[in-house]
Amino acid sequence: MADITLPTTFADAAVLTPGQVNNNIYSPAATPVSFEVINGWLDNANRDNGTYNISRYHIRPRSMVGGRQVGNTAIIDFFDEVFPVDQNEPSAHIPVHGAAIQFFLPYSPTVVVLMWQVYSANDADYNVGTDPSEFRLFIDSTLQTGQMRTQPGGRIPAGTTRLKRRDRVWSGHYVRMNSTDTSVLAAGWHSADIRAWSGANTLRIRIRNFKYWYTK
Amino acid sequence: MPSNWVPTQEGDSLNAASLNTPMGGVRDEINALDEPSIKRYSLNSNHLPSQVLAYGHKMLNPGAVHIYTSLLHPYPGWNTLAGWSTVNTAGSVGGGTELEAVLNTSVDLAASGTRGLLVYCNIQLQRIYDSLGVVSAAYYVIVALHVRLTTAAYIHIARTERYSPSDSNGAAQLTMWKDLPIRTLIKSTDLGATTTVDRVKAVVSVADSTGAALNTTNVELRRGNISAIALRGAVLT
Repeated sequence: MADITLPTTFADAAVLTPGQVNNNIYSPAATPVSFEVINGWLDNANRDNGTYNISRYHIRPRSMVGGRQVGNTAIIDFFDEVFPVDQNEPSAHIPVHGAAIQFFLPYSPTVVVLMWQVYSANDADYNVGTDPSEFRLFIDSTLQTGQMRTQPGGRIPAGTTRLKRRDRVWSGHYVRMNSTDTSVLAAGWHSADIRAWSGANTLRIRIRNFKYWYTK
Repeated sequence: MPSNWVPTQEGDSLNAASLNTPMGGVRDEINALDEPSIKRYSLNSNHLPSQVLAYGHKMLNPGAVHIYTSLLHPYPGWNTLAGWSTVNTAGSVGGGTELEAVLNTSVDLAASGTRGLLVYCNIQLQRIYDSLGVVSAAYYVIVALHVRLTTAAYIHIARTERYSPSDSNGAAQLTMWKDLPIRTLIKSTDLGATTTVDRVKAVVSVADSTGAALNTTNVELRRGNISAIALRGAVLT
């Protein structure tokens, strides 16, 4: 920890070298033990334990956690003309207004959590058996493995009746942490968004929210 | 305790104590800062330990569905531990990769300063149908969370039970593509005498409420991810 132990304890009759004195005052190290600790290395080990508690008044607001939420109250219609036929083409998926956010991480957090609620419907025949529309999660414009959901067809064939029970909600979540199938996000600016692709005439989307939170 | 640095004066003898004493005083002061030394809002993430006591994540992204049946895993009833299948890439027969978040370190949810284990889980439902290829509004999938104690025993978290009926429009085995989300904060009061946990997993069962029980009901699941975060929730004492 960041407690100061001082590299040198001086002894009588020993030859005093400038380096020993200087190192006690300032000697940078991965875990500093000199007075260099005061240059941003103070931590809980430097607290006078037991005499007082650390309360929220001691802590700079939003320094330990952060987060934000965006959303969109409007209905968004995507028409198939704006998408390529093949959803596997590069850039086939278009970010959805209200489900896209940029955020700054002042440090690399232990955990970053992304959450969203995306409502969708389309006018593809419900019983065709194809999967006409889909959503995917991107972080920093990179597709996140396993974060894909499909909007099935939701119209009675040869009619205009919408089967509301074929509407879908993706109340999704994704985390970035140190684990076998994901990794932490580095300090700095990032983006995260839900992107859509559709082969249906109309894909109707409502975004309730898209949000992130992180903690050290 | 403020440190009083006394400079060495002309005529003083210079010895080890001339350096050790004042340097040691400053050291002791900085190593044990008292409350007035901590200015309001002066601490930030560099000074304080992580809010996260433990964490774990697991994701399933199989190329094919995994199927659960009412024959092997019928819904055992509300708040029942036994009878569920762990969500895994092999389905009801088991043995596949499980949707289970293993914490990087076990955590005692009853410990002072531990708020609880925050769990997010999403499971993708593809289809529900019976062995004749028929769908019915009386066919259900039920999912829930089980948390594992360090004794290796699991605890069923009843409030996490979620269900979805099949898509009953017609006889075709329609792809449903529903998302089944679960969010919960597991606390020590959810557990028994042992309160230290190390894993949390998603489980599934199948219900056929037609009463006929003539055919096996199948549930197809696909993607899923589960995340568990144990959070600190008390003042630093």
